[in-house]
Amino acid sequence: MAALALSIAGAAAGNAVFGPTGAIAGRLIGALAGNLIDQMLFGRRERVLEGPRLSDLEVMASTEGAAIPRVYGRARLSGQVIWATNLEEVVGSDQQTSGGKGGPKVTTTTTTYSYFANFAVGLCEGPIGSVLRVWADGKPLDLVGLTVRTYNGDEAQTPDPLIVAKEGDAPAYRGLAYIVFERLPLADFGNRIPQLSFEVMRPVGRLERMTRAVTLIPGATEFGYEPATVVQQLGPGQSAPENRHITYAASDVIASLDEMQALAPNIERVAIVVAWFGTDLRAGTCRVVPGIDNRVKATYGGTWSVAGVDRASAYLVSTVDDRPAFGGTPSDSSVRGLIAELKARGLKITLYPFLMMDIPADNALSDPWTGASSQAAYPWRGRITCDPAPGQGGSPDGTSAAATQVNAFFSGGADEWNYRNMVLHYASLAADAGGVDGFLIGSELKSLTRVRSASGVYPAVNALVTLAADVKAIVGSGTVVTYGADWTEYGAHVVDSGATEVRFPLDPLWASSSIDAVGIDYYAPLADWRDDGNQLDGALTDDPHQLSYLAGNLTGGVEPLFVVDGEREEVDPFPWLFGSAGGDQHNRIAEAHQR
Amino acid sequence: MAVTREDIVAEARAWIGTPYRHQASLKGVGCDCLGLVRGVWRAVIGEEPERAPPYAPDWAEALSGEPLADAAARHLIAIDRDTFREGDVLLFRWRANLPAKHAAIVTAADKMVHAHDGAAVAEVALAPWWRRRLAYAFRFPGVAN
Repeated sequence: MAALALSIAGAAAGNAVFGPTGAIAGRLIGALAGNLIDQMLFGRRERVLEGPRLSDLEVMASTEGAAIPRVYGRARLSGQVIWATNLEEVVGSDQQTSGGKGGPKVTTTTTTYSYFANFAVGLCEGPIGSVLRVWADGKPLDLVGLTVRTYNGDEAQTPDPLIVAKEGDAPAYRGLAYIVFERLPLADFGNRIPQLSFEVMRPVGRLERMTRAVTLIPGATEFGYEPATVVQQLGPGQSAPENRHITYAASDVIASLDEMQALAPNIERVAIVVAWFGTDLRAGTCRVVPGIDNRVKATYGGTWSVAGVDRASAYLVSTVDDRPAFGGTPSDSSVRGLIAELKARGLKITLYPFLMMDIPADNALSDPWTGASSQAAYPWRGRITCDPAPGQGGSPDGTSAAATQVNAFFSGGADEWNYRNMVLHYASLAADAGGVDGFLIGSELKSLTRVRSASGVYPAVNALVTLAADVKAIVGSGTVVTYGADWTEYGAHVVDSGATEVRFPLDPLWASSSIDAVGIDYYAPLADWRDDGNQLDGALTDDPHQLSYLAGNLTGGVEPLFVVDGEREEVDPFPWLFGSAGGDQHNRIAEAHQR
Repeated sequence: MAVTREDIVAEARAWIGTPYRHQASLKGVGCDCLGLVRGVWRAVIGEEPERAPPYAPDWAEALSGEPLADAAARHLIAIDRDTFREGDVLLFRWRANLPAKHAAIVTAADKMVHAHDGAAVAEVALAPWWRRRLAYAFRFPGVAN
């Protein structure tokens, strides 16, 4: 009796205070309190508790005749429920016996009810690119682990299997973007279908449809390329995401690839940048090593290992303001996983081993370019050269000593941590992973490929020719092998200021039978416009979108943006892209400052 | 006796509408995804070669290895995942790091019959959602064509 009365009273109180969800909670509290009173009054040896139960399993209505929205770009929509089953009720039972030791023995049976919803939500006119984030009752909904099927609203989509199984037959809702939730657990939402809203992305630009290849960076990220979730363990019971900062995919890279393919459906090829670290601008003493960003990091879901080196013994990258200057080298298993993921998506793969120079600001390394006692911080790999650099007093350029230094960079060192080791490691990894479509043996070693060991002899180019042949032997004839020459490097070398000696140092490389393409990293100085009005092109035109002005810039007249000692050096070309020296490690490819 | 693909497809379609019942395998009464394949086997080939062990609805989350695929390989002929035709058996995995736990029978180049968890046996489109989760494909032994 008391249980019944208090249950109703509790429901009324809960309803007044918290609405329907509160009503359930109130009913439960009332039932518990009532049972307690019953127990005391009547002293029964058995009691039965009923958990909150919905009396009505019908789900929310949807509006008849509502307009179908049309989305351009990105929008947050709540949609219309276009199909739903009754809520599915799962009854659970739990029995507990307490008492004894002279007291009465009481057996408590608790019946619990949990609810699941099957429903479809119509979003907007298709075809859309994809549905990204989903919010339930205003909070981000983690879609991983839920069964959710999104239909982009094209004219070829097929009926949803759940609707077919429930209804016997179903329309495909062609032209309508919709999303189907299968057995969504409702416990988190007060046993009702939550208010859902969806971030819908529909690409409308022309550039996106023209894009056919992308380069995947940052290149320096321990687990950023790992398709599975990796978690950083901070301590007992504490963890932080390592490679998952979104709720609609298992990892950041999967979300990025999904979004990229939705946005640019004609993408065919992805180049994966994987970075090791160079330690010195002087070729003779530069080591090339895989690095980590944290010595004591504990991870779950993936363990860092590159070329047989583990976290305990790997090179630790330098820090800026107590934060690592770079992310670590991508773990080998993450690169293998990414290659498999890209293949499963039908994308072609170029593997791009990359060299980042980890030379912090307070280094005590003699500068080959100036003779100063410290090298410039985080330089571009295009500044690696012999010591002193060509043109400096006492330079070994043109002697066999220069060859010794260059060869030490490529294959020297008792510890074997040299440039060839890095490139051959990735050639083997690519072959192990079932092969890739393209492979770069390096890029932009601009000041190294200009070092001569005798008149007309370029030892770095010879080393690259040998390396190309060795890589080709590993990756096989089906893989396009090339070198990404800087746009100021691929062509002529004007040896003296009078231009009496002009050579083409990279020609033996381009002519090598192991090289399948001429690769040029091309940074065309197309325009110079800035938010602060301090642009150098302001003198040329008022309209930065004028095609004839842009075409004129492309074919002549404008100096390279990246001039170290030229008139443009005071203007940082990409301040928004590369940040300051202490900025976000993932966005900082510090070499740009040195161009 | 030779088994034809048409026999398999016809038998699979005869199960459409059978309600979903965990571990069951009785046409028109109840079956799960494995029960459907077992039932089709009984109809077109004969006695079941092995008794399926008891399994929980979430067994794939709790176990390691590939018990379903291993069992299929014992009695069916593994084929290349991309070469399936009508009458072949497909196994799906819900998530990349879990074993395959769902089975279906191909009825056309882009259709299959399967027992949908919580619903019934139905013939549905082999949509991209399914193709992304396709883990294995098998052929019934003795298929004539």
